[in-house]
Amino acid sequence: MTTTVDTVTAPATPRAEGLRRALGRWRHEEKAALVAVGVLVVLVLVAVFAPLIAPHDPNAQSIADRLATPSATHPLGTDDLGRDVLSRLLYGARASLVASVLAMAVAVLVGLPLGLAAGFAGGIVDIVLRRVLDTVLAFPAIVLAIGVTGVVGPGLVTSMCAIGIVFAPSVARLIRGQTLSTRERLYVPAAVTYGSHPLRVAVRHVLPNAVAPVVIQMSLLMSTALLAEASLSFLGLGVQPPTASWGSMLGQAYGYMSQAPTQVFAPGLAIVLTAYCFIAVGDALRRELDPRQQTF
Amino acid sequence: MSAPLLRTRGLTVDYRVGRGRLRAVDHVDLDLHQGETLAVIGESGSGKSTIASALLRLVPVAAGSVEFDGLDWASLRGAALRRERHRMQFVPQDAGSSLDPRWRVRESVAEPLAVAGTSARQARDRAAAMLDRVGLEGPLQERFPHQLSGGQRQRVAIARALISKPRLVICDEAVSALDVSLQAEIVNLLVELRAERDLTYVFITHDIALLPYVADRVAVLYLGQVVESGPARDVLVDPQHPYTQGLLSSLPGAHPGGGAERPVRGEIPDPANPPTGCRFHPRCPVAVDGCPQVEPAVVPVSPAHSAACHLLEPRSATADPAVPLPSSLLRKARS
Repeated sequence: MTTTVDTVTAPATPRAEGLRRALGRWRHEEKAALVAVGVLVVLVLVAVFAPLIAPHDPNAQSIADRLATPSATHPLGTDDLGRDVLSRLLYGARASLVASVLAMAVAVLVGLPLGLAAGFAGGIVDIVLRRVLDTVLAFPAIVLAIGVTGVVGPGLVTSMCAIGIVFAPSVARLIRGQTLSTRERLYVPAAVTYGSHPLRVAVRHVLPNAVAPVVIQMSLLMSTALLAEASLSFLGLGVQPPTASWGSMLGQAYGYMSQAPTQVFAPGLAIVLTAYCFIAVGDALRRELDPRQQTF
Repeated sequence: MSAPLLRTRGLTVDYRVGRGRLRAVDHVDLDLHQGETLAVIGESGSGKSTIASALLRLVPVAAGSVEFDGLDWASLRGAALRRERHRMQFVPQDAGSSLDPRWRVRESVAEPLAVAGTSARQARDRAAAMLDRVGLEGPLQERFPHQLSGGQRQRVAIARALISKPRLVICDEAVSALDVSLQAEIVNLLVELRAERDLTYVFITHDIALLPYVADRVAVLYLGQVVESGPARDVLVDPQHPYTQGLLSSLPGAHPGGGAERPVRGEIPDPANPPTGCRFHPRCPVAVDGCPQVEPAVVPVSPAHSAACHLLEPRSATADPAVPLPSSLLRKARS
């Protein structure tokens, strides 16, 4: 061994750093994203522990107190049926977060294998898949979700699955492009020369090296899904009463804007803030995982 | 003589370019016996690397036959081919990009064994031992490719190629990206390993200066065709084809006296549109009437040495005498 001279440390890269060091760097370079992560963590905790922290039963009606302005008993006031807005907001985090995770998961579970297959197999498989995906992509998400709920009946799970399926082509297109460029790296034919099955090459070499942008896309999809859930619930096609979600709360408050204009702010701000947090995290991940910043 | 380990007859590879096709390798015949090293030399664009890819079955073979290790290699397909691939391995020029950047190098070296169904622990131990053998020891084995130097990555690529105990190793410009002192180290390592493991090499290079150290036989490739082939010593000392002569005279220091220097001029023509007749005629310093029209036959100069040039047919005095020998090469080739 005579080449020990050049074994001194290579430059550190995002890949080589531990999670702790990456977080340490974020404290300086990605303050907004770190705050966003914190807000999202708090939101998840709120959703999980809503029964413990909510001051009232979110569905308990009190007609006498309807459309009350904020007070000590009802910090955010009450809605048109006299239900406590703060409690409904806390419980609503559950429906809204579950909805965005569900739609994102469906999009990734459907889009990732299809995109990988299209990019890796190529040829006729690629052509057919791309036609199908482009067709779905041309469909407005909300319109398809409305159509699906029209057939299956309204409900959070069905409408979010529909949203997820409309999002799937964007994931598939992303992973297809990544797969095409990853497939050209020399380690792919190298794996073929020692007898790897194509599926093994795709899963062990191509996918891990192609997936980074999808992680970014996932957080952006969650924000879009959150807004889609709000729209559908606003239209009455998402969660069904009396269950609270931010979209349905907004929809109800909208009807009483002239009498109680403050009611729209709580769910509205919650939606905007959460969507912003998803986007901020996604942007930071994009900067972190941008291939142009990687040294290999 | 026993049957060769590798024998190609009429090996032809076409690439599709737009609507047309490009014949990158055109009816190449190669013979390689167990334990020998065949050097394939030529300029960029001569089809050297395509031959490597075709032998490794990474690109489709358009025509011709390949016999390898008793197998009808060119007609193996699917699972049958995957099962036998371990017999022929390759060491690429760019070892860095041939290693998955997300895998520790020991994992990369163990992977061929894992693919073959060896248990994880055994694969790991054998990979560690193999890396030790090629001179990459201890904690270096736990690094990622980008944390290693070019020479170290090349050692990793060699270890990965040898771990599955191949019969034939194809070194495609395996040392070209390294600086000269490292080249010597890696070449020495390859030569040692050949003796130690009874390996056979196809050594693809554009660097003629390496040949005396590694090659038993040489095939000179020009625009996808073999223009001269024979024992390394014969080809280097007594090159018959004007192209080989030109390549050899392009070596620095080959002609201290000057005079007969006759390097190959110009650029290699577009392989999609090769010249008619003898493909070398536009650049040939000794081309005569007929060269642009008639494709030359392969003429045996001695039982093992042959070249494809019209001027060789009569072996007459009209042919220019061979370029004076580069003294440095001569010494090495005879040693």
